[in-house]
Amino acid sequence: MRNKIRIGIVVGVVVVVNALLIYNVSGVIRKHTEEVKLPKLALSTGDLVFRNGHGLISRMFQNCSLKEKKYGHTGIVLIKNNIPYVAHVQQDRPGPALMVEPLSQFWNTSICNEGAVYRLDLNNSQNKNFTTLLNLNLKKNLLFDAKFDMDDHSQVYCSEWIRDLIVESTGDSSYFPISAAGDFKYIAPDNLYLNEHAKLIYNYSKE
Amino acid sequence: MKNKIYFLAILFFFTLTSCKKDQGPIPVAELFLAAIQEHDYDKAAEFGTKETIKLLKQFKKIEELNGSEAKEKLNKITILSEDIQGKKAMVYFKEEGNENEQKITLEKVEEDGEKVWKVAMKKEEINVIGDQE
Repeated sequence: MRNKIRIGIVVGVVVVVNALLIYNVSGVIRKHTEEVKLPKLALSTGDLVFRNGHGLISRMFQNCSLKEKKYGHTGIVLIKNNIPYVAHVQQDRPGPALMVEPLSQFWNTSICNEGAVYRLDLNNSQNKNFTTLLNLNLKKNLLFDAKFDMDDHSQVYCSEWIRDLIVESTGDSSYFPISAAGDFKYIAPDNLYLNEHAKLIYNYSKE
Repeated sequence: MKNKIYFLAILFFFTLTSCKKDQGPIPVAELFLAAIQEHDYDKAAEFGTKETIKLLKQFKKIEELNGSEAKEKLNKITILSEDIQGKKAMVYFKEEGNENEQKITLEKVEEDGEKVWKVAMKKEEINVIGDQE
C-alpha cells in the first residue's frame, strides 16, 4: 500500500514538473488574440496599409525608412463582404510568404500601436490591372526575399512586393522613389507613401 | 583494470567534446542580442547565418547613413526560454519597458565541420496567433 502511495506521489511530481516545463519552455501558450476594434472605415481594395512594431527586430527594420521611421511593415487592403482584410508578405511564418488576415488582426495591439492607410492615385485602367495582378498573386506560392534583393523578382519582401505590383500595373518604374545606402538599393515603407501618388486615408493609433 | 581505465577515459573525452560542441541556442542568442544593443553589427554577424550576416551589413550601411543621433538606445534584454525543434530553435526574450514577449530564430548549421547554432534573423519576430503551427 505504501509503495503504491509512493509511486503515485512520484508520478504526480513528474506530471506537474513536465506540465510546468511545457508551459515555460515550449512556447505553446504564447499566443495573443488582441484584435483591435476599428470604426467603420471607407477603405477600398488596393489601399496600402502600414504598421509599426513593438519588437526589437521590427524597430530595426523601421529604421530602414530614411525619411520617416514610422512603420516597419506594409500590406494591401482587400475588401471581402464589406470587411477589410490585409494581404501582406511576411517572413516569420510557416508556408507561403503571402498571407491574408483581417485588418483588425493586422493591427493587433500585441504587434503594433500605430498604423495608417494610404490610397494611390491609380486611374481606372491601372486599378483594374492592379486588382487582376493582386488576385493572381494570391494564388501564387510567393517566397520571401530574405536577401532583400530588389533585382530578384522571384522572391519579395513586403514593400518590394507592393512596388512590383504597382510598377507592373502602371508601367512606370519610377512610380515610387527608391532608398539607397551605398550600393544597397531597397524599397522602404516610407517610399510607398511619401510620394506624389499617395494620400492619407486613415491614421490608426492604439491610444 | 586497464580496460576500465580506457573505458572511463573514452567516456570522459566524449563528455567533454559533446559539451564543447553544443551549448544550445541561448548563449548564441545572448551574444547576438548584446551586440545588437551596442549597435555592433560586425560582432552580431559572428553569431548569424550567411543571410543574417548580409542583412546586418545592410543595417550597418543604413545606420551610418542615418547618423549617430538616430541610433536608438536599446533597453536591457532578459532571455526567458528556448524551444528547440530539430535544427531550428526559438529563443524568447523581453526588453525592459516592453511587456511584449519577443523571439529570435536560430538554426543549426555546419561551420568548420562542427554543428553550431546561428541566429537566422527574420523580419517579423514577434509572437502572433498561428505562427507556431
